[in-house]
Amino acid sequence: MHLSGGRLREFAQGCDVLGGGGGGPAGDSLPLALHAVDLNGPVEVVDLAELPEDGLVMPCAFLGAPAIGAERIGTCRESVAIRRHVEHHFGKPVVAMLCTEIGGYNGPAAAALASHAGLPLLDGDGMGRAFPGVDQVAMQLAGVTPGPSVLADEHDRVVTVHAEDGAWLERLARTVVTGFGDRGVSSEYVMTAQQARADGAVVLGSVRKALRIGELLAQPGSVVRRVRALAGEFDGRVVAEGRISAVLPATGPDAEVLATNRRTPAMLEGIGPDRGRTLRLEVGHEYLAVIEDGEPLATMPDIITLFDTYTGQPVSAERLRYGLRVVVLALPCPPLWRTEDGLALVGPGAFGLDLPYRPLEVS
Amino acid sequence: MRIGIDVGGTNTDAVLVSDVDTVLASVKTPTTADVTTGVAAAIAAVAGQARGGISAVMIGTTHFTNAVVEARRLTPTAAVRLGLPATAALPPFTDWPDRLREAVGGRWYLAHGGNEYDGTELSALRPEELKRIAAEIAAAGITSVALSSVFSPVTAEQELQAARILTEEVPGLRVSCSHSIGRIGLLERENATILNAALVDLAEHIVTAFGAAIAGCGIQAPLLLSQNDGTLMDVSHARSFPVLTFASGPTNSMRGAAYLSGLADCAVIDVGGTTADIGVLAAGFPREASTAADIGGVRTNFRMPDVLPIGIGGGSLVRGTEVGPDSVGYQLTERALVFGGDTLTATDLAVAAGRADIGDRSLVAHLEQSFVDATLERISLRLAESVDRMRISADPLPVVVVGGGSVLVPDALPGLPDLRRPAHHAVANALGAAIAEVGGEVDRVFQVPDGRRTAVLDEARSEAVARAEAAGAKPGTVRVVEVEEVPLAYLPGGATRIKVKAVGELRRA
Repeated sequence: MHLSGGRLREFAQGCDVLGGGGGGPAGDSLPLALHAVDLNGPVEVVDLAELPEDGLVMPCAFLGAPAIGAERIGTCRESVAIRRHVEHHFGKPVVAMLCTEIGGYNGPAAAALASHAGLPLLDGDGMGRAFPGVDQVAMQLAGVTPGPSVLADEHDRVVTVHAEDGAWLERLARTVVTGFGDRGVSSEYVMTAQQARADGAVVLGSVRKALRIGELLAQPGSVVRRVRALAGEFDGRVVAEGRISAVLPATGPDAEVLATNRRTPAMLEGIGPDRGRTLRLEVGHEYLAVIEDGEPLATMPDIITLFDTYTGQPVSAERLRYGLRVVVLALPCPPLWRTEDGLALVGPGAFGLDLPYRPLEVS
Repeated sequence: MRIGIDVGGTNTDAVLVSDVDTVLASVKTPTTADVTTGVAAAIAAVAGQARGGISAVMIGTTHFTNAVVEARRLTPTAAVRLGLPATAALPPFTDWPDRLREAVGGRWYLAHGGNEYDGTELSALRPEELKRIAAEIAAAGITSVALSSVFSPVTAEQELQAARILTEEVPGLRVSCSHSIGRIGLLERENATILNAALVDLAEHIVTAFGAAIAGCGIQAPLLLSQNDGTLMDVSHARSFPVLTFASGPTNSMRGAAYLSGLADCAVIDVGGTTADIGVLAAGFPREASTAADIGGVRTNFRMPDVLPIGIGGGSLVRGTEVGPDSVGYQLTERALVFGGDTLTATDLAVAAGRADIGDRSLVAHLEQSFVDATLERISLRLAESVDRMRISADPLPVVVVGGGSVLVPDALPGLPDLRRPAHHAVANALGAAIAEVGGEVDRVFQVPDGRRTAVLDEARSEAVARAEAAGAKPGTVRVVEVEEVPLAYLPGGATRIKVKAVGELRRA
């Protein structure tokens, strides 16, 4: 299968849905992918089984503030230098790019980076959604060594960070990106195809899943109906249809609120068939939980996505505001996040929520 | 006394207002093919009723927007971007509609340059590279250039330096610099700059023609043009920055409506023949749309008013209890039942319910009252829901209703008891131009060290006030109407994007 043109657009739409309100708008990186494909031809999507055992799989993602990216657009050729350094370090060829984070901006960005690096894109990713942390990836759970972290900017400046644990790696990698002017591409958790084949080492099928979601949303019919179709096909649940009746300001020091797990509770008043219901949304970089009468209906790491009922577009956590009419969809996260270790890394507690994790009940 | 004019696609409206902003006279005239004849006629109609001198003429016009939408009368333009090696992932003109790209020539160059968010250099400018580009531009006969640079809203130095080099190499070249046109967001700012550069010849022509129309009426007063944010610019500014007139129409209409009702914070429902446009004003200015404004298929980052159009107007077709979105439009007076036509429209319902006295009421006497009431109730619910979508809090919100189709709106909407219908509402947009003020804006990334937030905000405020005064606002009347802070996540030193907008009364000569 190949990604280009209309398929890329549908793919980007699916990436926004899988972002669960976070990850930055996929619409912002879609033009990068479209332009890359114009120059280099369609991006090939490959399955893990097609890759030689000893070949390297290279995860890639943009790091830094999205507001910087809106101005200092990179080249998307950062992946060329990264690939060179990774091959030099490991002494083996890279055979595929892995999207680190399928949710949001980094989904289409991975297609652009793969295209310029002359690599196929593996049908999978590191998260199955969007998460804010560099170490919140399947590879971390599977015990893949995170380092080295190879970071590059558009000037072909490359920094390789070696550190024994993920926390230090992230801390140093972020410092490097700040040095780059808060914009750069990074690769961590490089592994062989054989390592990637271990159970749960990557989230498989994410690229096709995003594409399929985009296809479903492109069908005719009302927004609610399309979202229902999506829930039906992916074992999800339409939690409620409602109107945002309050977005409460986040409290605490600005820097902390923004850089850590910013939490802005919002209230949702049911409309239509859900009239009379009141739901509470916990909002961080992503939508963290939906709660009704004190009971969590969906929480991290399951994917909670809000759709504007008028435009049909997913509403990012940043853009949530008073008065919006939305349909709330919850999709199950990849099973690997539901294990004890998975929940320790990305469960409600990891986002500052004092809530138990309950797997999504499918309606 | 001042004259405010709105040049729309169908009508050219003019109002004469006193120095205390009361409406002394108003007129609606058809827009003429050459536009200026219509403007001259409108001015003449109201100026004749002036007792005393005219101190200023303000014009809101759709000329420039239409030129872009129709891809006509545009100047061939080259886009030069300073940013290499960054930004190569998306060259200029990416995602432009073919027709518009062809109309401006679509020529672009990427050169080295640009800055970081904190103003440090991203890449050094290379004068030799720019000289080569200048030579190619000259050889191609290009006379207008759009210059953009990474983070130029933070520091404009490189754009200014590059503009100097280009104009030295190509005498007579007009250069539009992105830092004076748009805000953060390179592609959108660059797009707006290209559109501006493509409009410079038309601007020269239009501004000269307006000036002649005013002089032809024997008026010696400065001419000012409405900008998209509801503030004014003078003639020399308009010649250089025609793109800033985009979308001044809806802004003027909303501001005029709010002014007529004496409100600074309100929702405005403008009901026309086909749609009802709904917007919200805070501190007298329309709330800005959060999404990029699309002009002729090109994404820009203009400060467009957030307007929600819904398919309900005076001419909307009624089928069963469904109203709109299709409409009989300008054929209302032939096709509506009350005018002897055969089509049931929303206006017929308003007449049947006794809300309006239009046409012949006996022609709708056969409509079931319960049907009429139920259908009008649905219209009310949809309008109320749409206002609710636009509001920013649960606080009580007065609603101002204007426009020819406003008979569809009852005296109160569900959840919105305070509803007003001001006089003169048919010329709200011309009035919006006449009451406009002069503004100044700051939008860039500031370093905000711990404990210095107030000082930095004060600095940004003073800068916005100074800009408003430099643009022609009367010192002492300038006030800050909007402050927005967006901390950039993960950045040390408290890097924060701060937007401040200040406005003040027009300084009278």
